[in-house]
Amino acid sequence: MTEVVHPTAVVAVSVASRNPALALLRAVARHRLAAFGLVIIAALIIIAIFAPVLAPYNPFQQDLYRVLAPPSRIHLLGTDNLGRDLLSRLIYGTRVSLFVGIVSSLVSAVIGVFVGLVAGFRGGMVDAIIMRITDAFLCFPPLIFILAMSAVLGPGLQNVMLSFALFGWTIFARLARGQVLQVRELPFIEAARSVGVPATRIMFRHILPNIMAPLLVAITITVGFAILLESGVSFLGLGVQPPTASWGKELRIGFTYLEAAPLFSIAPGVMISLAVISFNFVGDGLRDALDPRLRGANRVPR
Amino acid sequence: MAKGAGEALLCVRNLTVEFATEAGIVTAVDGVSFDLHAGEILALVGESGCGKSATALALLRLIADPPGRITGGEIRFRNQELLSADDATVRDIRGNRIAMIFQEPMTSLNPVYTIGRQLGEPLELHKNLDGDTLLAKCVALLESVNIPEPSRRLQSYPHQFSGGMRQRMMIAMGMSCDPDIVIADEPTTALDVTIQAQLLELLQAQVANHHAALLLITHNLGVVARYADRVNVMYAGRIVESTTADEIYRAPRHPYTIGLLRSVPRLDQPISEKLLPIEGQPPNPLELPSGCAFHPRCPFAIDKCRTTTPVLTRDAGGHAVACWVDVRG
Repeated sequence: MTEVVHPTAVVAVSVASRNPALALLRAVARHRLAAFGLVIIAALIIIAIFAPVLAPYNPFQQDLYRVLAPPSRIHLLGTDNLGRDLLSRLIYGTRVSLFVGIVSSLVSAVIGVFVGLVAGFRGGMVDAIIMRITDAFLCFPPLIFILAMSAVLGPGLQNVMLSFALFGWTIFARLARGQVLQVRELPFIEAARSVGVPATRIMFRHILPNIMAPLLVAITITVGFAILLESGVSFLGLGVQPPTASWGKELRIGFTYLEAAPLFSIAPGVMISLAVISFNFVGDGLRDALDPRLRGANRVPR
Repeated sequence: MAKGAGEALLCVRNLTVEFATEAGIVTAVDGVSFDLHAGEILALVGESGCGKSATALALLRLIADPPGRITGGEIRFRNQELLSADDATVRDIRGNRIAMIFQEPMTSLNPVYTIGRQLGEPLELHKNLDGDTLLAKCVALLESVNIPEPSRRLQSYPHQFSGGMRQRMMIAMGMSCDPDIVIADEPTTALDVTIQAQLLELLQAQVANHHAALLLITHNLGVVARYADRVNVMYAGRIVESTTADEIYRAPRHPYTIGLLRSVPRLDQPISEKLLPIEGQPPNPLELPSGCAFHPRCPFAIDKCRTTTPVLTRDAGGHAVACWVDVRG
């Protein structure tokens, strides 16, 4: 029996037959910008994990004889206003920024996806109430919301992450709900109900895996957004507290000495941009790899 | 276990299903009553939109609410009333005692799970099977519907199966818990003509092996003639004629049934004889004609047909028809 196999089916077969996560990674890496993003993210993660090994100096050690030193062989990026090694501080700052970015997006995603699943699946009043609450949250500009939250909770890393999560879930809730509304009408959901699958199992086992693709893309892009927000909040003095280093914090202090030591601002700025852009590129790559329509368009010229 | 011979496995009485649409309320199923006896094949025939699928879905309380709602009637399965039963009871019957095979094998399978996981789901839920027992049972099931290399095929994803294979798999899944009743809603409509016959043979053999009753929903009169024991003909949400499959071909009594039969080619008919389509269009479900819904298209219609809805009346021979006119001869 010969079958005409659609080109997208071939890709799907290769994705399905091997390790799906690995196959997906391979598909993303084929996207040039996403490959660049993956490399940068991998490097940042390695830097964050091995910060104590990679940092040439203790990031908290002050040397008041060498404040705002220009780059030299001893201090590759120079020193800050208290004579601490800027490179070491940025390396340690990677930990904070990545941690905040990844953890707060994951927490937002878990809350938001759960809320969106329930709203979309239950429909009716439950849906209406949940979505109006979501709308109310979305009316606040993110930065103002986070500033207000910080004012209530007080500054500090945990509180910043908490306020990100409290704000960020709305995006996932909307996205998940929209996807659920599409998927729940598909015949295989009715088929699952017809064999007696209970509602919660339909939600988590039959619907959730089918809406993962756009969620994965959103999580990736949100990580970049959260890193940017953390920098912004730290820049305003609400994020990490001294002497802890984060990219946004360094940028803020460097900003004061912009004329004396431009690299003090430029270096953390470059780190922030690099990280945010990388996560966005990977998000784009993921979307292209996961969307069969785009995949078809890229592979078979029509 | 042994019951009176007259006791049907499934009794449907005055089943009414309504759908709320933007234009108003549509009564998709309007007072449908029928019995399904153990081991028989009952066909539900009618054109698109006549309410046959809604009837099937209502039997398992699968009507999406909103927009649909079962507004009246009774469904008794083994003396258990299903419309008033709690959700857990109904869930326990679905896929276990009453199985359903859908029209669209292409979309009735979840694309992210392997065939094996989906085939095993009813067994997991209703028979508490897992691990090797479940695997062995799944292999046996796929084998019973003639899918080659069953143990390897369990690892496949739905998109790697052809339409025919998917519908075989759906049949295997329907049979997995040894149900008393299988509801097949146009099981072969989406498939190639050459595969349709094969699949119906398979379905017939499978229900016979499992001593299950089959409610076969179709618009294909050829399928009815070949496989069904009894037939219910539906028009505009009502059963208009109900009798044995032989009788419906030999002596149809409802003008709609007669029209349907005239519009299909038959081998025992001289070629010179023309196929006669039923005049007019199926009625708009929002504005059903008064009286008998078929009267605007009916060549035999009398005044009474326009004003009063005929009731389904059964004669001594068991042939029931809802028509004011005796069109025999």
